[in-house]
This record gives sequence, structure tokens and C-alpha cells, in this order.
Amino acid sequence: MRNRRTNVSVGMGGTLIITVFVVLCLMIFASLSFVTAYSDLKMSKKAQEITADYYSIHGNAEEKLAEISDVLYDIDINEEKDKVLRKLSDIDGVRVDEENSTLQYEVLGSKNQKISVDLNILQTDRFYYEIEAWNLSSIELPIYEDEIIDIWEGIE
Amino acid sequence: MNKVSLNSKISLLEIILSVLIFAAAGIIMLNCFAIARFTQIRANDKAIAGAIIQSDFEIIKSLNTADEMNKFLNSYETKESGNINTYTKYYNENWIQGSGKEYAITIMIDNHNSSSGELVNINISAEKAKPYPFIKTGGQQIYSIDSKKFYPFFGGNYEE
Repeated sequence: MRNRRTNVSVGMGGTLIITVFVVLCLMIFASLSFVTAYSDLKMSKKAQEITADYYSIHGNAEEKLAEISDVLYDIDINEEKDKVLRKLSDIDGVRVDEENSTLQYEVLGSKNQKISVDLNILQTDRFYYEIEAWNLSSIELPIYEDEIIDIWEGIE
Repeated sequence: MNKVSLNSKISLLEIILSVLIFAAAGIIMLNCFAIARFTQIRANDKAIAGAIIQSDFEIIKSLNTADEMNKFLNSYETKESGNINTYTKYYNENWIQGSGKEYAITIMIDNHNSSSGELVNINISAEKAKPYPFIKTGGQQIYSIDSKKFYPFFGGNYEE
């Protein structure tokens, strides 16, 4: 078999160009992987902030519930219901519906979320509450502007 | 048989220069790759710790009495009693419970008795035993949540 010689030359400066190209490629990969990881971390932090805010307002709602429960506990059973509801309306942030014997209150968070609580006031051998609704919702809903695009004007 | 040979047109200076550029860039790149890796691990840890903490919190929220809560918390590996009870469970580097102490989930319980029930201050946090290498910020605490739960002695049920 005949020996064939192939001459491959990168020429003057070729090595340098290849090195710079390889280094540039690796730099791009390194920065891309960092950007991806950092955006994941930012998302995790955001999720943590919203979760912490939710549990914080949940805690405040539970604290308010304890306050209402204490007021109900201290009320004498022979007291009139109107008087009881008036005492409950003295609690800060509590709205009383005297007709239906219900209480409502809201606890606002800092991340556009709130907990709305509805309670029924009941009476057996003492006054007590029952949770009718415990809802998490947004404080403000985003406004979506209608964008109407005429696709077809029709024929006359 | 084919033989490939390079011409000796590449000067020694060029090779030295290439190696120097590669070495200088390599230090920066390796650092960047390492920071990216540990930033990704930190982000994943935050997500996993968040899931575990929320799961435990939801269990506590669903319980009806403080006794039930204490029963649940006794499933944690360690308990320190005092004014504030502290319960801790440990995870290994793959977040598997009971086979290492790389991560710790700690619940701190502070009971306040009132006339009509028990208001419990709850703090749940996740911590890493060793700090993340290559990352200066963040510290060893991964996640922390504060909340409260009220267990009434009478009433307080959800409407049926």
C-alpha cells in the first residue's frame, strides 16, 4: 500500500484563533449556566416570599380568631344576642351582620393576597363560632384591557 | 497508510500565548461553572425545603387540638423542651430523611394559653449544615416561615 502524506497547516496565528474561539465558547456556556441557575434561584426566592406572606396572614387571621373566641368565651350565656354582636363589633377590623348573626374580617398581606373569614355565631350552653368560609384571594385583580382586532369587515 | 504531519509554522511564542490565554480564561470559567452549580443547588434546596415545610405546616393546620399537634411533632427526630419547644428532623444531601445530617428542618413551638383556647406561634426553618462553597451570600438558612394556629377548647369547626 502506497504511503500518502497529508499536510495540515493552521498557519501563523491559527493556534491563537482556535484557542480564542474555544475560550469564547466555554465562556458563553459558563455564563449561560450561571444565568439559568440564577433565574431558578430568583424564582425560588419569589415563591418563598409569597409563601411566607401567606403563612404570615394566615397567622394573623388565626390570632384574630383567638381574639373573637376569647370575647365569646367571656360573654354570659343569658346575655342578649344583640348585645353580644355589639361587643364583637368592637374588635378591630371585624364586621358584624346582626341579621344573620355572622362576622366577617379580612387580613391583608403585602404580596397582593388576603384571607377573608366568615364566621357564624352559635349558641348552646355558651356562645361559640363556626367557620363558614376561610378564603384566600387577591387584593387587586389585574386589569386586562380588551384589544379588539377587526379580522373581517364583512361584505356589503 | 495516511500520515498527518503539522508544519512547524506554529511558533513557540504562539503556543505559550495560547496556553496563557487558556489558563487565564480557565480560572474565570471554572469559577463561573462552580458558582452556577452551587447556585442551582441552592435554588433546588429552596424549592425542596419549601415543599417539606409547607407540607408540615398544612398538617399542623389540619389538626384539631394542640395534643394532636404534639403527637405529630413527636415524629420528629429530636426534641428540646423549654419555654419554646424545638423539634428537628434531619436529611442527607439528597433530601432523604434519617440517613444524614446535611439539612435540618426545625419547628419552634411557642404556646400561649388564653381563656378559650391555645394560640400557638409556629416557626419552621430549614438549614444547611455547611455553607455553600463559592457563594458568599445567603448564609446557611435556606427557608423560614412564621405563622400561628389557634386551637379553641370549644367550637371553631368548619360549617358542614
